[in-house]
Amino acid sequence: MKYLRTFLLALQVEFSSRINIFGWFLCSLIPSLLLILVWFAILGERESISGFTKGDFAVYYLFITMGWYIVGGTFGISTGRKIKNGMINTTLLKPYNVVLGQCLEEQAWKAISFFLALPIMVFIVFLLRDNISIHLSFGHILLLIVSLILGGINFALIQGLVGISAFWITEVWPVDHLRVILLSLFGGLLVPLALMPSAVRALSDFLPFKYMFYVPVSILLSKNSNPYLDAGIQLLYIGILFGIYTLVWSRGIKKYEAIGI
Amino acid sequence: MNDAIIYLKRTFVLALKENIAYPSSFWMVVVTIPLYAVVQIVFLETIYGQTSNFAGYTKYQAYMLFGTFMMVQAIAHILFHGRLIMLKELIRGDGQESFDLALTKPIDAQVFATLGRFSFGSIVPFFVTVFIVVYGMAHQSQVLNLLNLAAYVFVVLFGVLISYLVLLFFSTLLFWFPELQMADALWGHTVEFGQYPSRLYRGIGGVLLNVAIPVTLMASIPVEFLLGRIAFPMLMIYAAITTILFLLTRLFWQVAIKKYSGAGS
Repeated sequence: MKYLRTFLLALQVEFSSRINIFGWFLCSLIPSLLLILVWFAILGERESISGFTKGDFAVYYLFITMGWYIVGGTFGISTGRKIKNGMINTTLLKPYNVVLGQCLEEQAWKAISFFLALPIMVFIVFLLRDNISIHLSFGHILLLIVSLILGGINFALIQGLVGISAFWITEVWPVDHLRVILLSLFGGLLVPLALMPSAVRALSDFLPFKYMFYVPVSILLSKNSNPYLDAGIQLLYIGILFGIYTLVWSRGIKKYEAIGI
Repeated sequence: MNDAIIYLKRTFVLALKENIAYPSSFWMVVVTIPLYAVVQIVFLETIYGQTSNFAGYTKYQAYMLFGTFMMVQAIAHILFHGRLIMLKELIRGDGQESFDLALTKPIDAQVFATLGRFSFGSIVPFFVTVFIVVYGMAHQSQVLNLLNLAAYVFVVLFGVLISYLVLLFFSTLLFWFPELQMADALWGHTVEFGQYPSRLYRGIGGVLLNVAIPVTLMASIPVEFLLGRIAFPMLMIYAAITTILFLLTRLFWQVAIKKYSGAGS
């Protein structure tokens, strides 16, 4: 109930500043459109590159834009700020997990943004309709939804780790920046992993980043030869990351000096 | 004018002292920004693994393009980014100082509110970008012409000014929408258009990004000057466009500050 209230309160705040929702949507759309433009230019007259057609590139990057509202987020920064400023002090004495609270608070703008961005995205897809073709069975749609949720949990755990790194360092933005770099490179945010150099692809198999966005989008594009195995690995990473998160939190809270008390 | 120069000198010294006293931010920038360069280089290698020519650029010319873009960004971070992103706190008055202070200082409010916080951490990434440009240039068959190099340096400076003007424009919107959170992010994504060849943008997009808001001045145009692809008289045209944009942004700023109603009132 307390977390639901956190979410509802955040929802009200987000509704009061709609210009931010539109602005953030623009921020997420620009890189995707730019990358679509780049790959369209590279494709030129060619039918496909490593199995990726114009439509595949368009779906890939647009899905990452919209998928951000399901999987992505930035609550690591706000969590880090709360720890740095001693604002978690009051919550430590209550049965309230500050990191989970921050995570749920963030779901408000993600939910509103998703529904506000949807018509614009549908319009863009409509403009590119001649290039796009998606064929998914009911089973694949279910698997896609599951994979998105698992990807979101993986992402949230990484964000949580970024946030609680504030127990040791004063500014978490460089850690978050590192997260962005790793996700861009090994998570397929910048380029579909299938097109990346083989060394990057090999390394990405042993890191959690590709299991956040890349696995769901590869299911959507029917380019995943073993989606059930990947969903299983997503689950495995949730277990591993949760273990690391719990360990780091317990160590960090012992080190915390509670500035502001 | 003298007051503004004294202000910039003092803030420069202050930033130096701050970096010496709290070196962690400096080192974090030193480490993370070059890492970003690694990602972009992998991206370039991926692109040129599929094609030998992208919008008129070979692989090493694309290195020059990317290096120049990052160089402009590094200079922007050294000179003005840190201060301009604080404008939202000044306007909302939720930081240590408010915009009231900018209006009462004996120097131009725009200078005070948008300049004077130097990020020395970006000096190292700057040298990394210079290396990338030189590396790309070393793979060109043509000999480096000093006139072309001079034109390149000038246009890079125009690019830095354009970068400042774009961030100033988005930040100025805060006078109307103080709750706007992403002026900085909008700037970051808008200037991203500048890292690709100008020929990528055609039609209305081409006019917008090459002429109206010439973000391609941040990389593509300087590199084309360096490669001798653009005639020197064009330098005057780009100077004129940059000046016009500067004057328009200045006018916008002056209109905007009249909207300010005081953070404490």
